[in-house]
Amino acid sequence: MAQPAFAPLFHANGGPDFLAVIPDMFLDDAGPSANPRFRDLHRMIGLLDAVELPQVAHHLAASLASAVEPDPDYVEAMANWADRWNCAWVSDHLAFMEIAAPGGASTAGLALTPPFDRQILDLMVPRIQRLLARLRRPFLIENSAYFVRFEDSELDEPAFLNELCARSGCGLLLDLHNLYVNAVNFGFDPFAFLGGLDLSRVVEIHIAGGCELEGVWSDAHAGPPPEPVWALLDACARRCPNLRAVTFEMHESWLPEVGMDAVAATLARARALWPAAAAGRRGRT
Amino acid sequence: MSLADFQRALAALSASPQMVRDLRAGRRSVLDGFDLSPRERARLQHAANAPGMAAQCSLYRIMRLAALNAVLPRTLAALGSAVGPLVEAYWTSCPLHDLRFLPEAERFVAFLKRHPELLAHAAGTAADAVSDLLRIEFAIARAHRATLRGAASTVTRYRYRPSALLEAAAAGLGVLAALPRGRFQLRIETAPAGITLWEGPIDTAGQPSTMVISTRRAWS
Repeated sequence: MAQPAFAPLFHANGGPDFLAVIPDMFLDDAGPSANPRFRDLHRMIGLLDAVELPQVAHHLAASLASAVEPDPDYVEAMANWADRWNCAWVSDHLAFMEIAAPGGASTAGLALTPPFDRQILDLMVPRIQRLLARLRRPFLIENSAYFVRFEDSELDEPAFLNELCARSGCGLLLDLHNLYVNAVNFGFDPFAFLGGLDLSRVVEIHIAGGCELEGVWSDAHAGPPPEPVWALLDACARRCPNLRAVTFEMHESWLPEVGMDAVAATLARARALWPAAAAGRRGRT
Repeated sequence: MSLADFQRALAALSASPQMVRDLRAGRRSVLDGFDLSPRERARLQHAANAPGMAAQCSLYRIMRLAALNAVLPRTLAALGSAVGPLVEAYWTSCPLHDLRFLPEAERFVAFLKRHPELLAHAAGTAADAVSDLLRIEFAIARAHRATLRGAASTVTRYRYRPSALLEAAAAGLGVLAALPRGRFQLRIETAPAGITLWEGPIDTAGQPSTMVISTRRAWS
């Protein structure tokens, strides 16, 4: 992930092969009445100007599962960013943040995962189709980590993701740490989850580390992935025929505790898996 | 409106541990303000009972506090643990968040202006100093935002020397309370290249003459 604290690694041997950029961190939203509404955060943009790595855009706030329509200015900003940096693809989360409230939409303060209902599918499919048309490049939806899940959902999560991708035409950003978080907190088998997922839709995989929060495991991006996440990566990377990238997500605030060597070692370990995974994918096609 | 209200209610639960406790205790009337189907009511009850709900409430607090800290870091550092009751009162009043940090901070500043008793209770004898510090930090953040609009100059007045407040903030409320009071003015000059702050006693004739800080542009 592109954050200033990791900049020394961008130019180092063994550094990343590409950057997953969160445009929300690089743009200032001056509000709906401002023109231009989204402006560069000068010091952050300098980070990207200084490197010549391929980029993908990973957004936080499209709020595609919200009861209110996505902000058209935000969608436009997504497209402009992708064009500007020639992003290979664009992604956001299976979540809602925008809340319909008296006086206009506002946000929930955190991304929330909806029940896996057909009503949500029917909302999201045309939104993603419009987004794909505007972006003119692949769009991926990411499976979210959640602390509350609705057992009476009309579909299970893999079936929901499969149908969402098939009907909308989007790809899947499979976050294996999010899957691990949910499996730990809700006591299900993550390998069975993978077994139910259409892995041909997976274009990018996220790996990350977490920490305990209020008695549950959280998606804190707190350091190298735990061993079970590596096991999930090993098991599924070779079964994803269209996989193009594995991204290590870590929040820079953890860097003093974790250390740059551990970050570099994580990249090296993920990179070492790639040839076997690629061979496995070739063998399956 | 049912889905919209369900999402609003789930967000409200994340914002309010009290609402979670009420639902757990069977006080379902806390959902009366939302247009919900029976299934949605049952789902919100399930959410309130979920072991992960405490983490969800904590994550909400982490996210909203991070937004305020991005704009008002010295004020929050000065308040230390005393910031807890202030932000809880603010979040109860404004449970929905503005993703834009500056408007979110502006709402917090306006809330404290409407409720000076909360700041007085939290900061004690340092309340006036913290109030000035809050205004200064917000004025600086707003000036950074204004750099795109060209050159401007504003003068505001304080009870404490602005540079002393900015320097002493991290030391906490005890140090702020001991700062000498006076009558000071702060001039903020905004230009496309950045902002410059000048301070001086009000009683001095002319413009404030001591440079406090000069920063390059944050937005381009």
